[in-house]
Amino acid sequence: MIFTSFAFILFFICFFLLYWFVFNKNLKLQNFLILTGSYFFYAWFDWRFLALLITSSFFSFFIGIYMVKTPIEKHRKILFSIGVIQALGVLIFFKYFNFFINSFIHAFSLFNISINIHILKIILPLGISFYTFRILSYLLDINKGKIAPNTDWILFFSYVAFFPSLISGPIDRSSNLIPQLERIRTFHYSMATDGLRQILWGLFKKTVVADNCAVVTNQVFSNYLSLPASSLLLGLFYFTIQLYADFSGYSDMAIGFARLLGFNITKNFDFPFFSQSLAEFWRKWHISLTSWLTDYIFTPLTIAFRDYGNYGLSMAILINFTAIGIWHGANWTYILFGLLHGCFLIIFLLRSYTSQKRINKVARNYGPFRKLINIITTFTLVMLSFILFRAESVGQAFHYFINLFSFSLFSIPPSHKYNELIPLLLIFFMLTIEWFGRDKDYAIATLGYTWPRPLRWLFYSSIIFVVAMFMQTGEMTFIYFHF
Amino acid sequence: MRKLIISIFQFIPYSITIYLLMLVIWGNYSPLKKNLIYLKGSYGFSNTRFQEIKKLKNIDLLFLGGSDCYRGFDNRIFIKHGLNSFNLGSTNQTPMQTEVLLKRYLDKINPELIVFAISPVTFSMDGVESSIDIISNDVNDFESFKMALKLNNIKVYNTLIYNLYNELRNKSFIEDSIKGLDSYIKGGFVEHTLTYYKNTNSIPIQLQLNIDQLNSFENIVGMIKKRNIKLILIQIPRTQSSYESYSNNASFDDMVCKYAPYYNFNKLIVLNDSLDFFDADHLNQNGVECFNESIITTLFGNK
Repeated sequence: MIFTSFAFILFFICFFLLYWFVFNKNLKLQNFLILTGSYFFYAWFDWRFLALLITSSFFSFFIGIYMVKTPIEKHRKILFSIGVIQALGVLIFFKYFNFFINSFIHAFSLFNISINIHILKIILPLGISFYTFRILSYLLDINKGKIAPNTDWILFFSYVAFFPSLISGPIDRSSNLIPQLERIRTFHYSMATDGLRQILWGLFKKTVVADNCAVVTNQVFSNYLSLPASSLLLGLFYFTIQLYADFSGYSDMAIGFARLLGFNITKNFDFPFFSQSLAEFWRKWHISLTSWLTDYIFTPLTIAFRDYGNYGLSMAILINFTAIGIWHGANWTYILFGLLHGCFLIIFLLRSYTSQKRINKVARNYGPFRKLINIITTFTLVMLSFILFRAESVGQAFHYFINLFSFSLFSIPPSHKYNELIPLLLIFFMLTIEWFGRDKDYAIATLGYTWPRPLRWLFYSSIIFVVAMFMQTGEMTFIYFHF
Repeated sequence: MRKLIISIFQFIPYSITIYLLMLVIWGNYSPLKKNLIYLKGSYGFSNTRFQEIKKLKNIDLLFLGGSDCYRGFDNRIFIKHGLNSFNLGSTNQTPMQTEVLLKRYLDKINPELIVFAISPVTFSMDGVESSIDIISNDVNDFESFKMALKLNNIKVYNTLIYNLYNELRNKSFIEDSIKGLDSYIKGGFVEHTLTYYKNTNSIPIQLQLNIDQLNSFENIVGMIKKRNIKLILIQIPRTQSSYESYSNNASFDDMVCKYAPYYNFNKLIVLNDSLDFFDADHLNQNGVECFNESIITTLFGNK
């Protein structure tokens, strides 16, 4: 039941009507509806993993309570450790167990030692990385004394399973979502229409841009050994846009659905492709994950390593980015992706390229042309690093990279073969709208706000028409469902 | 909340109107087709075939199936044996579309015998392409809407809407009887100028049968039996490499033979992949003659 499916639309309409017309008088009942709706939504994908979600919520709920109840500091620490180990243990088992076993076997095979360990057939539960990070943020914040544990189990379980952001984020912190669950939601017309607009824009990005790019990307990455470098470059460009449009499209829809229910959830993207440096890019890409890791990994590490100056900072950056990489999946490609970005940032840090003051100074001195160069440079670096993100193995990424830099880079891609020009037009349209709306929460937040209503509705209707005309008709899942 | 509901109920008709207008403009002027595929007078001569069947009544033999059907049963050969036949095959026709066509025409043409060409391929398809072909070339009725809802595919919806607009315009259309190497023969057969197939190896695949197609197939069998019309199921020969590329042929044969007398002509006659076919799945005229004579002998003896 993905957001773009008919089943979800039907589910959401029923949910919306019950939420605002039947359960709106009583907060507890409204939260109970969120909980049952979220579990129904999750079980639709695979009911077997619902037990895992409930168990994880159950553990952290009681651990949170007893962490505060216990007067002995040592006991509190033990409880906190159990909570973290339980949450992380489930994640590690389901997501990384086979990866560690395989890496272990491979490492020994380098020394001609063969180890006979069987790998397990493990299916990755949907959204596990996202809800585990929600649970962890809850336990970490209680441990730091930032928040008090929640004693209302319906409310806490609803926080963990909140369906708009359950499967692919944004990763909401307890300090943001729980207070909203604690107070009665009131319906605001402007908030609801804003949510609908954001859903529409997310739908456009996902079904029109991402899914059409995916057709070309999949063909290029499946045939990268036989295609000219110009096609590889085009395929890589399309993948970069696809990844953004897919994930930010999902996030926009998630935020939009939450707004229809009266919730403000964390913004996940802030037009990252218009960034002028990699540091800025990482402040604008998958914000809920990067800010989570900044708060719970990077900042504590910089404090711990503060005596080591730039070396300590570099180490904190490397660890943080390795965590970003490995969060995405159990593959060396993701780890290398994280390390590569860590290295980029360290280089720029040591040369002070990341300083916003410096960027502003350069922009003032050289004007829009310099800005454009910065944007293109940042985009190119990100795009090249995404080879690792898309490749199935480090070997494939390496060959793709090598093949990319050959003389055929200057040949004309065989566009007739892959119908490559249509996505280019769609990308141009998307980026143009995003450029003009870049200082807003999402691209069409205020676009046409001052226009007469028929004209504004004509614009929205046109987007609906483009969606219907360009959407792929097969089932297209979201990339970040795999994480 | 009241304001939102009013706005939504105002926006929906407004948006539908804009959508319909844009669809018409897109269909008439856009070089890009994407999710509006309008196949009027496209390959397969469906338009001519549907015009012809409307003038028919009481025939001996009705052929049903996909492109292998309208390219595989030559009405002229059957006439020689005194059998008045019509070929209602259409491009990629799956049981879902066969059911619609039978509901539309079966009682009118009232055949004595129906030869239904089936294969694991047609049972595994979604039926979108064939629906678009039928919607574009035939008059649309309630069955077309039911088929569109069943398929729930934006391409089918768009084509249906666009075809309704064209029906309203009532613009006359006459399809050419010769297109490239294909010629339409009265009775629904499409003759391909004699060419030969250069054999290539096919990759083995296991086809996943579509449950909706199986349901439609059962409906078709029920519909025909209810009218006491004789039904024969046939698998038309394909090149050996194409036939053997599907690993579930045996289980398919076992499944369909329970419904009606079934003849898999891939096993019953020996044809040459190069000399009797013009591509991997279609007989050339040599192959058609050989196959048709064989089927007449098998079904009717030496009539």
